[in-house]
Amino acid sequence: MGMDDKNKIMVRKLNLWYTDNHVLKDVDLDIKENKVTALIGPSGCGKTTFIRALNRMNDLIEGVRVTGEVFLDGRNIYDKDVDVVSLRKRVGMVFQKPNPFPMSIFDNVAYGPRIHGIGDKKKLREIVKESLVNAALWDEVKDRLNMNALDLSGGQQQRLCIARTLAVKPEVILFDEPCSALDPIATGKIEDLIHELKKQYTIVIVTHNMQQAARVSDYTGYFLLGEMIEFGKTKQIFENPKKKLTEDYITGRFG
Amino acid sequence: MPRKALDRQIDKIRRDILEMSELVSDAVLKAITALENNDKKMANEVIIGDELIDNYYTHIKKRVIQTIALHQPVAKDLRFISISLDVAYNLERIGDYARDIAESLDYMNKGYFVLDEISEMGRISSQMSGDAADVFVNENRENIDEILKKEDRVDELYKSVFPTLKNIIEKKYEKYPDALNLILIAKFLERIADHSVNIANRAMYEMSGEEEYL
Repeated sequence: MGMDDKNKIMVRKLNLWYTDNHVLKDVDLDIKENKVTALIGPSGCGKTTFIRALNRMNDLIEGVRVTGEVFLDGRNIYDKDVDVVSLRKRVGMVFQKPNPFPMSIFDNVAYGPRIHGIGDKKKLREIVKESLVNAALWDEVKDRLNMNALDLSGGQQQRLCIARTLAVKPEVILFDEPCSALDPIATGKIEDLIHELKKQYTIVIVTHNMQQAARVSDYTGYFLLGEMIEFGKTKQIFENPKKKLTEDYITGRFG
Repeated sequence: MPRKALDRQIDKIRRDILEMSELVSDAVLKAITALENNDKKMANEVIIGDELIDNYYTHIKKRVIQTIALHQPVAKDLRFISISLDVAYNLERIGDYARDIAESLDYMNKGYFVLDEISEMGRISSQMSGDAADVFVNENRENIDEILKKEDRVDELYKSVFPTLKNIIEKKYEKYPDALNLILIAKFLERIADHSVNIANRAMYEMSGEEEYL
């Protein structure tokens, strides 16, 4: 693994404002293919806004203005002719709180493929099974796919949300604090899963849990007040950060 | 605040290393002085004192493991804590060599001789162990050049000891058991200097996060 790993996403001079509030400032970052990139930083540093900028989720918020470029496989996703729906299919997202739809487990996972036009029942069953297997949930739910997803435990719901994301066959998965509502065992399962998923997907994870960033990621970026302070291999960031601001944050001296 | 708790542990480790290094440096000086004066009482102090040095090592190891388990240190904290194990290990080895030198008094003949070179090696290597621990505990880079100079001097003396002792063995055969002991003692002192350089090396890594060998 080296800094010469292939770039899946290249962010250049990304700036973002919520009306007058300058939230991201000249952010440059390369996200490597089939690697896990963790983004850490104190609350309000812009890390969640940043990953939401990677599949244009911020477009939905009123008063947002974006400058700069985000290249996905070399193509700027902020170009006028980019289809945002297909962008979000390629760059999926898993949120902080598990948010299954109030419908069956099966329908939750089949939801995305159906929207994207897959109607064949056999094909849907295949996709649902494959997604649940890859989300490490299949063995726990295979006999009750018609059960309401809201009756699953929190950890299971989160893995269901991951399965739902996998079902549309994304290339990049953005995780926004996926474990903050989960107990340590459920967290361990999600972390193991992330480790498996990176073989097929490029992963970006925002986390408040520094040990989690250290455990799951190959690269780590530290955000502070909307700026990318330091980016490097996770080993380097946690063993020998180059910037004092990073050192202060990861060793708990911040503030 | 967890940060304060971690700082307390780091301070305790720092203090333990400092105390241990004082004991070790003192043990080397006492061992060589006991040898010079055929002072069995002082030699015995060194031998008994080695147990205390060993206890420090065990204690530091325990605290390091505990601190890692409870505080999950990273970056410089982690380097300091893990390198303190290396430093304590090297100090413990130096303590053992001081003890070996003190024990060698039992094997010397009545009216044995000590070379000036060996006395000098003893004084220098005792200082080196203290200086090296100071580099680590107080991040005192200024000592490093001095340590390296001292190491060169110890090596020089070490090499000069052989022809002298060979000569003595050839000319005054009855002195050969003492000469053999002195060869061993010179070796112990050379090792002490080397362990001190190891400590300085690890301290450099602790400070910079880069492996750079002296």
